[in-house]
Amino acid sequence: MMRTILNSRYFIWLILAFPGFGMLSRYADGRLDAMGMLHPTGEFAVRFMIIAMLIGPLIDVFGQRRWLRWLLARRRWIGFAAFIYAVAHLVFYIVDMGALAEMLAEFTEHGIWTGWAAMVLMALPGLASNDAAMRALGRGWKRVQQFAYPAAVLSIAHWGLLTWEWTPALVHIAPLLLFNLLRIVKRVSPNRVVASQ
Amino acid sequence: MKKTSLVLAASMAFALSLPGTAMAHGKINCGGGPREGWTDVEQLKQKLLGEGWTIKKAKKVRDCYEVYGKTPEGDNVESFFHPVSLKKILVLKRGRELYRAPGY
Repeated sequence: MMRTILNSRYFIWLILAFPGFGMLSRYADGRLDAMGMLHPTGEFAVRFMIIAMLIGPLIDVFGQRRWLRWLLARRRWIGFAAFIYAVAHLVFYIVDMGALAEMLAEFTEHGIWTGWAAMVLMALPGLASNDAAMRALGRGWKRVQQFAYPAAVLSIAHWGLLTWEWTPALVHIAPLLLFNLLRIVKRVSPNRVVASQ
Repeated sequence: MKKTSLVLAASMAFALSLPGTAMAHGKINCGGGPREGWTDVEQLKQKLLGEGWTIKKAKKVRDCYEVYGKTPEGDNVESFFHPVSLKKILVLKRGRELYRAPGY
């Protein structure tokens, strides 16, 4: 029974949507306005993006653990959820600004264009996170997914430049840096060289 | 894998090279003192409206009044004011400093 629930796609969808329900309920009853929605939507876009990107390095470091295989099978949904939260972030930004002219007037600010660039780079893997796109892109699909890396870095830059609060922004990307570093160390470690000889 | 790490490293280097990415923590200390002594936020709003600002939101943040709005020059800003004297301390346009009072 428990396994059926855990393996149900609705279960992971519910988990991924859960923070959004909380945000939307606070928006609906007026506790948060459009400006107030910007931070939580952006934060969860980054969180889910980092989680999706961490799965590969975690498997390289820890091996094929059961919980990692479970996550791996759902990685596309996690990445897609990140994209949906990013879209929500953009929608609330548009609502908050209220006019295209206002958005264009600040487009060149570093804190803003980094967000737009991250959004565009994230949209590519986000929109390609389905079977049809996988089939259509073939070997190029993996290359498209790699746009998530510059998207993650630009998202962190966007966050830090806007809020001046670099610590929480860098804390989010730190696991990705750490496990990519460990992945490299593991690949070039002497044990591995000996084992491969 | 090697390519992924290179992309990540290059992106990080690029992001850190952007102007204004100094490792600042928090935004500003206004030195507002105990909140019981603060001037009413309505007075600040009236003052700013009189100067031609448009106000979206005004609230207490740490020891400052923080105001989101538009300056008379038309910039959408986040700004900080001394909560007793209502002196303008810091004005940021999407994180870029437009004004900082001397000594802060």
